[in-house]
Order: sequence, then structure tokens, then C-alpha cells
Amino acid sequence: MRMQVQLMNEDWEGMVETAHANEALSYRPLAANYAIALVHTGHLTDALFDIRLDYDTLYTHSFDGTADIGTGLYLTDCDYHAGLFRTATHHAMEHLTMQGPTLFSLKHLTRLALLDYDWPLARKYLYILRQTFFEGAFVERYEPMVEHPELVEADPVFRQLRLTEPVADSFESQYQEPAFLGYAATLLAGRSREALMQSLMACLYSKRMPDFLMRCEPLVGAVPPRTIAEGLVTQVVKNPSILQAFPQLQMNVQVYQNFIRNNAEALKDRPANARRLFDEYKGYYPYYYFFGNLKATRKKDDKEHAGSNAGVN
Amino acid sequence: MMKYLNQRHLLLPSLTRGAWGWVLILLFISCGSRPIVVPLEYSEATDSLVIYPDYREVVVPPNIAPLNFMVCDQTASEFVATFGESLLVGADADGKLDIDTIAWRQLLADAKGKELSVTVYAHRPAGWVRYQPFTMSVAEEEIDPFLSYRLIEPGYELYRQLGIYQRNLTNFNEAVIYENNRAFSNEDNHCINCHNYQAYDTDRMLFHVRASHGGTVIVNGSEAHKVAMKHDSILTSGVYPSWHPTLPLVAFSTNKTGQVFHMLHPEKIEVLDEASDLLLYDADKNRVCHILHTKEAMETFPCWAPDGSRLYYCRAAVPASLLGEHNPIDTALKYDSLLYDIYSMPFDPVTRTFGEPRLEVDASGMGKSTSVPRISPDGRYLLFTLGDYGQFHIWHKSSDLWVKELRPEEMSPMGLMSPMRPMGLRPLTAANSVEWPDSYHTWSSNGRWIVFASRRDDHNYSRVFIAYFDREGQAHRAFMLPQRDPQYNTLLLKSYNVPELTKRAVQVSRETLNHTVLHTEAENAEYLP
Repeated sequence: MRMQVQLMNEDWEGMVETAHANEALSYRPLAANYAIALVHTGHLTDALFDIRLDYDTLYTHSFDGTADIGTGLYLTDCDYHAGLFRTATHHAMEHLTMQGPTLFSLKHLTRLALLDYDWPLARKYLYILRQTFFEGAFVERYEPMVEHPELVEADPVFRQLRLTEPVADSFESQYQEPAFLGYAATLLAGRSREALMQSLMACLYSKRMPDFLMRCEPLVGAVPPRTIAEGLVTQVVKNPSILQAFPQLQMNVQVYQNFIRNNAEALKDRPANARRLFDEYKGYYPYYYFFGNLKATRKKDDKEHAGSNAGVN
Repeated sequence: MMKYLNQRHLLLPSLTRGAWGWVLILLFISCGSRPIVVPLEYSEATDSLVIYPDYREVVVPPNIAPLNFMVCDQTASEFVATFGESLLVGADADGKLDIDTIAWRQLLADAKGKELSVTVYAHRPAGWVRYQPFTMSVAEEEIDPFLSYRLIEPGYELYRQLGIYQRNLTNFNEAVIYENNRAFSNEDNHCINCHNYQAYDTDRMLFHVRASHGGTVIVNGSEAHKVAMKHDSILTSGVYPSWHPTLPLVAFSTNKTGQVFHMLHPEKIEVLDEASDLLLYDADKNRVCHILHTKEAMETFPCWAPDGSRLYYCRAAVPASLLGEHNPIDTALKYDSLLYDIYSMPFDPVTRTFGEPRLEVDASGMGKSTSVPRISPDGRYLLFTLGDYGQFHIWHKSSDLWVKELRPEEMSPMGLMSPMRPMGLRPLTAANSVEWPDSYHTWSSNGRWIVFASRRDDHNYSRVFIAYFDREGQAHRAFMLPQRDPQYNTLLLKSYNVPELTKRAVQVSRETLNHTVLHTEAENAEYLP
């Protein structure tokens, strides 16, 4: 909840602090908001794995009473902050449909309409928000942008998000859900270095190492960010040519070999040892690769909203 | 000091006949309200009048509810508007006119077949200004007084609260025909769609229920029952319906439909069929059979001719690469190559058989695609939506309303030869929006009005628009369905779907429909091979 308020206030540093202050718990909405904050503080590539990503068995109850891992609490935000504006609009509209009009969905829809230069639609949402108590600041910030694309592009948050906007069209269903991970992990063309970094981090988070290696190619000849370097090192045994492309990783390889050697026993029972080792290896990608997010593919933890209709309404 | 022309002698004759009028005035004044008068001194406004909704230069039916609009002038503290010579309406700083319904009806009754001049005055800090007057024409012909529609959030996958409603077009009353739920229930949540009426009457109607309590509700007078059309040979169930004008028959499409969501494309959503066929359903005998059942083509949007002698429908060839087993995403990736033409088949009401199909609109030959064919009640015009591809045109900016002359012998020689009108086709340019989707249209029972859904207002939420279609086959500028509060649609976060006109209000009660949907099982129709 605190992170949602901080997110609304664009208090990125505050969100990072909150995430670290609550390391004892690991759940998806916190992790998602933490990642969003890192996008805006520029620390996505060196701090994403500084918190536990094991997702303790925590869930909310959806409005229909079913258990929910909280997807609705972060899906729209993650799509939006990943530059996936169409997808964010999709989920914001679903949120509006299922929850009724909320400030959350209306504000997102306003921003998305502005990013789309859809002035009549933005006006509509701003008009509704103007009738709402305590939303004057939001209206004052965004209303001047209507009919002024230069003001939209000058907004620092919008400018940051544009960097990862897709360059070519495709369909959401072509990507593994959630789209902000599935799309990023299989990115083929981006418009900025930020898009590449997000893609690489999505691959590392999802442990999609072949996709990760393929997307490291543009970094050959440069010094990769710390976490990406650590990700490369985990694949050196299978792909020795990595050291030819990134000869500076030799030191990282030694550290990695020490990690494997020192935790050989623990590797035999990863779920039992993951929590114990976290404090020592916090932020170290190989730790996450072997011990982190072990529940990620378990279907029983993935609750779906009811009321969905795969066809047309 | 501002001087006003006291126009009571112009205002009052129609409103204050006899002593009662003076009593009304006294009551009006005694309540502390200032009488509305036209300013005598004013300057001409140098800026253009902006009103919402934009009711300038439109043709209206004589029985339509008041066209309340708001004047968009934030510098003014009050407004006065004159309609013709007998109606005066005032507005506060919010610019919203609230026209008296009785006075409005009288105004339109007196102005049938004529033009009304509307003049707006705005009281700005420097004084009154008068905007350039505009006209509003009143047709001779009325519009059917009832309009049904569904209200639902625009597009997407999930649904919660939605309903079918009926609006009285002569006033602002909106009644519920059926609503699914107000409080969400996982077990009971269901979607409703595709309401349809026989021959503009409400004696026979139907709508579908999807998910929980699924089936098709068939209404006969004040009674209702629920049916299903489940069979191995039927793709899904009945989808888009069309009642035969006289027989207890309904032509349905049956569609395997999906939605895909663009990651970047401005048109956001694509709704497309993977397969579709046509069914004929006997509502009295609860029997269903195929009309068309082909793998090489998709047939959809059936529509009977007004005399029931032909069935019109849309048809697209299935791309060769999509015949046989394939990944569903492959269909989506070919979304812009699915082009629908319009065909028709003769129907024998005695044998209940269909003849050979005939191509009516070769849209694919033009590199275009059609949807929702609708025949005018006089049988002269085929109205349809034409877009760049596909058939769910309400999401396509390219979609516009077009007509085809079905009786070209009645066209002028110049019209027949015009290069702009191949095959007697032409766009309803005056009614269409410049760049936003216009779709799902219906004729009035007298063929003089077209009602359709359009996203032109805010580009996202579809609203109902009405356009006059005159005896020369020309459409006129469309106007938005009037609301008591002109900003009603600004606050509304639902779209209007499937506007359908009827001559009478729905006969069946909401309670009967609730009971039928929630507490009866669907009786499966007998399938006739």
C-alpha cells in the first residue's frame, strides 16, 4: 500500500527504501513496484536482485472472494512503466470494468491518452477527475498537456517511458504473460539502450539464458553492467566463447567458481537453503539463478481472475 | 447600463395562453429567478460558436427529445439561446441549456419540413455577444420512438456489470430491459448481447446470455424462454441474429471469434473470426439447421430483406494457409488480409430453402471489407460498413457507412455513370465522421433515419448517432442522441452497442427476463442435418 502511494507520488527513492525495509517478506506487488522504481532511478541493472524474489505464499482475496497473488495490483503499472502503453491501456480498462471507475484506472487512462495524443479522450478523463475531491494537483499537472504534444514529450516520466515503447506492432498473445516480462524477454528491436537493458534484465529474471545470451551481442566490446556480467558468467561453462567476447569477465568467473564451490552442498537442496544464503549473497545474480524464485513456474500459485471471456463480450 | 428587449410578446404566445400563463410567470418571478430575455445590445462574436454536442446544421425528427447542448465559452457568465421565433432558453455560466420538453415539442411540430434558426448570446465581461446563428432542420418524418442498446465498457475481455436498455427517443427516459448484476458474483456472472427484434416490433425479440446461465432468450409477447444451439456440427452457438420479417425464423451466424490486442497499432484491438457459418433457427419449433457450412469461407452478419425474400450476409475466403491445422496466432497475423464481401441468396418461405448466392458488394475487389449489411424498409438500399479489412469495424478508423442502390433502374443516368459510384456504391459522407469508426447501423421503420454507433466523440466510447436519409437517398449530418445533461456522455464510462429501433416499448417485464435467465435451463434446439 505504501509503495502504491509512493508510486502515485513518483517517489522512486522512497519505493526503493520501502522495498528494502520489507525484505523479510517477498511478494510480487512489492517486487514489481521495486523494479519500477529502479527503472526511474537508473539502477535496474545493478539492484534488481537486492531483494528476495522467492514469493512467499501470500495472497489477497479478489473482489469475487477467490485467492489472488495480486496481479491486478501491479500489472497495469508494470506495463506502463515498461513502455507498453497499449497493454497498459488494456489492463487499465479491465481494471475499470471489474472494479468500477477508480482513481487508479482513471489516472492511468488519462496519462495513456496523453501519450497517445488522444486529446478528446484525455479531456474526458480529466473532466471526470476534476469533479473528484483532492485530484486538483493531478489535473493541474496534466491538463496543460492537452493539445500540446511538446509538453507531453517534455514530461520527465513520459520521456523515460518513451525509451522502451515498442518500435513495431505485434500482438500480446505472441508473448508469455505477463507481457511486460514476456515481451521484454523476447525483444527483437528497441529504440534505446534502456530497452536493451530492460530486455536483458527480463531474461535474467525469467532465467531465459539463451534469449539473454543472444541479446548480449550488442554489448560486445563494452563493459556490461554488473548484473549482466554476473549473468554471463553463469553461462561460461556451457559457452566458453563468452570469455572471448568479454575478456574482462575472467575475474567474475573466479568469484563465480568460488560461489559454486562454497555452496556445493546447499545446491543439492535449494529450497531448504535459499533463505539462509540470501543475506550473504543478496544482489549476486548467480545466487538468484540457482536459489531465487524457485516457485515461479508452479501453477498452483498462479490464480486467475474469474469472469474472463476469451471471446468477444 | 445594459438594455434588454423584453421579448415577452414573442416568447409567450406559445407558452402562456390565457390566464394560466400569467400565473406561471408570477410563480417564476416569485421564486427569485430572472426572466430570460434576448439582449437588445450586443456585439457580434468574432470567434466561432462551439457547442457540445454539436447540433449545428442537422436534420432532426419532429418527435425527438430536446437537443440540449452546452455552449463552450468559459468567459461568459450566462447565455441565452433562441430557437426559431418562439422558444427562448437560458443557461448559467456552465453553458448548459435545459430545453422544456413541451415547448420543444410544440416548436418542432410547428416547424415540420422547415428550418429553425438558432441564435446564441453569451454574456461576457465586456458585454453581450451574439454568435453567428446556425440552422436546424425538422424533417416531416418521425423516428421510431424506442431505441434499445447495450451499455458495456468498450471492448476488452472481462465484463462485470452490463445491461440492455431502452430509451424513449421523445424524452429522456431510459428503462432497463435486462441487467446482469450490480454486485459481482463469480457463479452468476454472465454477459448479454445481440438483442434483436422482429420487424421493428417488440412482440418477438431475443438476446444471448454467455457464460453462467448461458443460452438465447427468446421472447414472445410477455413470455420468455431460453434455448441453446449446441451440436457437434455447430461451431459455437447462434451469434449475430436477424429475425425474418414475418415468419418465426431467425438467421444466425455462428462464429468462432477471438480478440487480439495490438502492442503498438493505433487501433488497439482486433476482433476476428477463425471460422463462421450461417444457421436457420425456427423459434416456434426450436429447431436449427445450417444455411451455409463451409470451411473455405466465413459467412457472417445475416440480414433478411424487408419482404423476407432474400438473405444478405458477409463472406470472406479463408486464406489457404489457414485451412487445416494451424496456430491460432496465425489467423491473427493475417488480420488485415481478411476481406468480406456481401452476398445474398433467395429464400423460399414454403420449402424454407435458399437459392444460389449472388455477389452484391465486391469489397475485396476494391481491396476493402464490409460488415453489417442492412436493407432499407423499402428494399431500395443496402446499408453497410466499409473498412480496410476485417468485420468488427467499430474498432477500425477506416470504417464508414456506405449504401448500395439495389434498384439501379431508379437511379438517374448520371448517377449510374458516375466513376465515383461503381456498382451503385457510395459513402454516406455527410453522416460519416472524418477519421473515426462508424458502425453498427440500423434503419428506422420508415427508412428515413439511420441510427448507428460511432467513436467520433472521444475516440474510445461509442455513442449513438442519428442521421436523416432523405427521399433522394442522401444522408445528412449525424447528431448525437440527446441527453438531459449535455455532458452526460462525458461522464459515462460505458459504450453504446447495437442500437436498434422499435415502434413500441419492450413488452416483456424485467422480472420475467430475470427469471428466465437466472432460473431456467436452456432447452437445446433439435439439429436438422
